[in-house]
Amino acid sequence: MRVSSPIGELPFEPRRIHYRERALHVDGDMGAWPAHVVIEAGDLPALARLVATPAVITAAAVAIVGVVAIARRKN
Amino acid sequence: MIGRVVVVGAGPSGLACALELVAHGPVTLVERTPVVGGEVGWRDPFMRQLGEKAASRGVDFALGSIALRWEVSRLLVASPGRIDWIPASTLFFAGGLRPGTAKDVGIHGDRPAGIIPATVALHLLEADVPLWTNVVVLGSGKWADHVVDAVGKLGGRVTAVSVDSSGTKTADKSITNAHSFRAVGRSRIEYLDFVADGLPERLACDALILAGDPRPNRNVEGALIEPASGVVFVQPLNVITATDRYDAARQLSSDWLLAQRGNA
Amino acid sequence: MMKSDVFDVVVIGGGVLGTAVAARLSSTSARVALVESEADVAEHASKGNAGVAVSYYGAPSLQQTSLINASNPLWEEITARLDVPYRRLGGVMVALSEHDEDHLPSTLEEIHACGVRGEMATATRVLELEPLISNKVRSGLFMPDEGVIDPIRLTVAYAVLAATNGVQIRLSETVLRIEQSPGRSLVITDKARLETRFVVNAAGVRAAHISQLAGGEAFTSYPRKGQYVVLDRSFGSQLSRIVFSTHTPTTKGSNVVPTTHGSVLLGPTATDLEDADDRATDAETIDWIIDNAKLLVPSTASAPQIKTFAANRPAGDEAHRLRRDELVPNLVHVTDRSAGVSISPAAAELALSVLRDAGLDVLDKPHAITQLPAVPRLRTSGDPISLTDRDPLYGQVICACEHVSAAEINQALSGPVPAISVDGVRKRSGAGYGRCQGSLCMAGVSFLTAMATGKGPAHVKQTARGTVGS
Repeated sequence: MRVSSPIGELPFEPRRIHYRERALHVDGDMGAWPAHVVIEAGDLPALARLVATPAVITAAAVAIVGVVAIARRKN
Repeated sequence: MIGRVVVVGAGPSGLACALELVAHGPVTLVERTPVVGGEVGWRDPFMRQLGEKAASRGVDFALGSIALRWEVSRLLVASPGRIDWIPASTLFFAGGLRPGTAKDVGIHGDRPAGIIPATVALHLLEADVPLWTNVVVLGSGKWADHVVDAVGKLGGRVTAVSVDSSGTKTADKSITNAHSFRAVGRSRIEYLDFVADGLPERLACDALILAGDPRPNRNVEGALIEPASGVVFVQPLNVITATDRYDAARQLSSDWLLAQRGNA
Repeated sequence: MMKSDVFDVVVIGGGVLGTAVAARLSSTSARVALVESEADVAEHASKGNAGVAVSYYGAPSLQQTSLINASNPLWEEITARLDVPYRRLGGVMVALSEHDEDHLPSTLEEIHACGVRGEMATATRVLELEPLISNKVRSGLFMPDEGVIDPIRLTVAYAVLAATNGVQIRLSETVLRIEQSPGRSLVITDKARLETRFVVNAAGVRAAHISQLAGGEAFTSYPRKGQYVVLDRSFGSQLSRIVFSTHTPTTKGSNVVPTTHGSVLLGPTATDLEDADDRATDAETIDWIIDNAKLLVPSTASAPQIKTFAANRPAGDEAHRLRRDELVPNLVHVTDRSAGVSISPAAAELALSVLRDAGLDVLDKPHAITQLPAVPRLRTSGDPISLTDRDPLYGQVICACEHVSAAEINQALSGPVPAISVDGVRKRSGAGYGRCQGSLCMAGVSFLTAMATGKGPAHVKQTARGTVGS
């Protein structure tokens, strides 16, 4: 994966997804530097608003729920 | 007419100035990080609220932009992809505080790796990687408290050393009234030597975090030293909490506005 | 299996003289390796000095003087070509007492005997030249050809030029033994066995040790520690000349030197040591430096002091050594106690001459690189707005105090002799050099360095010798 930032494009290698404290955590590395992405419940409406069509929203919601469910089972 | 005011720094002081000043003329708020909040942090509800209020009151934001040079009537500002002048009649500099450097604190001796300002240590520790096992934090106050927390969470031991009688109670050990510091270590820091209660002491450590003796940050050419033409500095050393800093800065801005009207 | 490489010349020491010699050799057909025990070039005396490119240092008859004379007029051209900061500020030697004044005429006589420009100056003239000098000045000497240079960027530039032309720059490699056989040496390091026809000993404070390893002359050599204080650029912008203490027979004194960064250096002191690795500062010496500076330039007393440091220079029976060893014919010594920077261009030329006389039969390489591309610097740019057209990352300022952008830091982290530590980034770009000493930028610089060197937060190097984490 790639993340663009003010200092350029950085690699992001996801290593682990888990669910903790009502948020989805993606732990990964930028090179050898640890990085993580946290998606909280409160972020979902904002994410949903950015998406264009109802079909895509439904698909995304199903995907997120699915990933969350898998992550919860793994924990 | 006071003309456009440019405020540098979007922490509690800068946001307070912007809110006070925008009622009387155009304000641009320049902040070098991409978020408001300064050292209090972008997630703090009070900071978020102030940021939203400033935006709704018409403050122009230049986030992710750093102020470089102040000449009377304009400020050079840099952000990725764009370096340009912002015309303004006055600069309110609310660039925050930094911990004293090794020179400020008077640390002699070697110059090994492992001597790190608290502001840097706190950023590095956000990666959640244990960096050090046996830390000495030199100084007391907010930075020291945060470093003790952050290192402790990652399993490290912290000894706090302060130059006065205020210790850091949350540290594993707290030593007060210390002076005459020397760092010892050829490649990496191995000891901090000092004198406390008249007796020489030696603390083994693998990191020495500089967390005391706050000084105002100054990085804008033309606004490095007080007094500077066209510049109001808003960097109180002894005002600690976010709300106190906010109140003090609003008061200072309000007084300044009155003085301008008096001169008109 | 230890690698065996074959060279014409192995240069031992990555300071200003070693890298200058390597750069000069790199425009010939010689196969050259430079071996440096630290993880970067310019880690010892070449890093810790006041950055003065002198016009005058010592007696007229000395080889050192002819090397200074040959180098001094070249600085504008060399530094433009190598993208190294330099300012020919001129220097004023200040007499504060009758005792000082008594020494000025003989000093001026020596300056003129060296063929160097210098003139007596009345107190009035001294204060015209530099108004910040103490008004207790009695008289002085003005030397218009003194200049200031960035000694670290000069050393790195020499190394980059050498590497670009094919010199193997071997860092973090320590010479353990040197085995001699007729016409060649085997330089055995902790990483390899380097077979070579000639050895250049540019090892500074370790030169005596290297000579001993090679079976060469036994020098009397000891480290001389110099301590320094750095004053903020807010004061530096007001000072326009180098201010020298009067030279007396016992001391060259401690000076007030504007730097190419815009800061001011106070120092050096001179304390002879046994341990070349002792680079500790102490309160008493630092206080002395500050008090001495106040006498020369009173307003230094209220200037913000941002840093202190110490470095050791190679003192001993010979202040300057550029010649073949008397015992080992393929060993050439190139060392200088205090004027390494000032002699480096001519010293490199002379070293090649000495090597040729000793049998190094190499040809000039017509297509060798002699110039390095200029990297624009945001802090000093006369047209900063246009810099983002060149690279948008000029607008991403990482070091707030010194206005160093990510574009410049990325430059520092790339190339044939890149920074591999936070301190290495500071040496090349200036990030972290300023008044906050990294409290605003070190996290960002650590991250950029980590990304460039493939390390994480614990293992990224802070200095040439140590990492950020333990």
